[in-house]
Amino acid sequence: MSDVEIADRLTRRRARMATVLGIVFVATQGFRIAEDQMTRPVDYFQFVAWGLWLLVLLLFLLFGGAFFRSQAVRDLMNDEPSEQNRRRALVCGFWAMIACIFICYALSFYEPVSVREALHVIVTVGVGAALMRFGALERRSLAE
Amino acid sequence: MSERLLNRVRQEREARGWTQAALAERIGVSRKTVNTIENLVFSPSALLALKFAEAFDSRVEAIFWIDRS
Repeated sequence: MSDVEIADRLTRRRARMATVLGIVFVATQGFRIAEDQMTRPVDYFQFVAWGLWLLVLLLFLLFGGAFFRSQAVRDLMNDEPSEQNRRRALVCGFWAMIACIFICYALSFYEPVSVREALHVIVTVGVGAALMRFGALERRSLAE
Repeated sequence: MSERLLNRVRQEREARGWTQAALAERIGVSRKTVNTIENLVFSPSALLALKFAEAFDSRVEAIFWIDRS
């Protein structure tokens, strides 16, 4: 199998994964935010796990994954259309975070919102939106 | 007045009987790059446009042009 074929297959997989990871990340963190308390040791473990997961997702979003593949395959996967899709996805994530900041600010007039809760929501929505947008744009690019 | 970059990559490729993957191999890009350019989803850089023209043994203006309609 040539590098172009390998890159094509991995790009399709990455497009599906980005969408699924974005949805799963937002959905699971939505439950976590609802019970956001740091009283038990398991809460600290969950906080660290969330941080690590966030780091992995950011690396996936910014560098396109396939870290164990050759440079040639990664270059083909992160070609000009993918770079453009990534920029658009990051802009989408940025606006999602701005919208979330306004919502948190408005909500704070009616309900006390801790800094930790607000940051959790903003980061989760921003990264999740960027991942979902990247997946959608990549799928559109791959459509015949 | 809107401006768009149009191309005849698909026509040139099909005239030579090449698949998108075959053209991608020749140029050293992904099949997705060829697909997005053919479908006008993506406007290539000057470097990429020159590579396409080179693959078709043609001038870049013959493959890519600006539509000002």
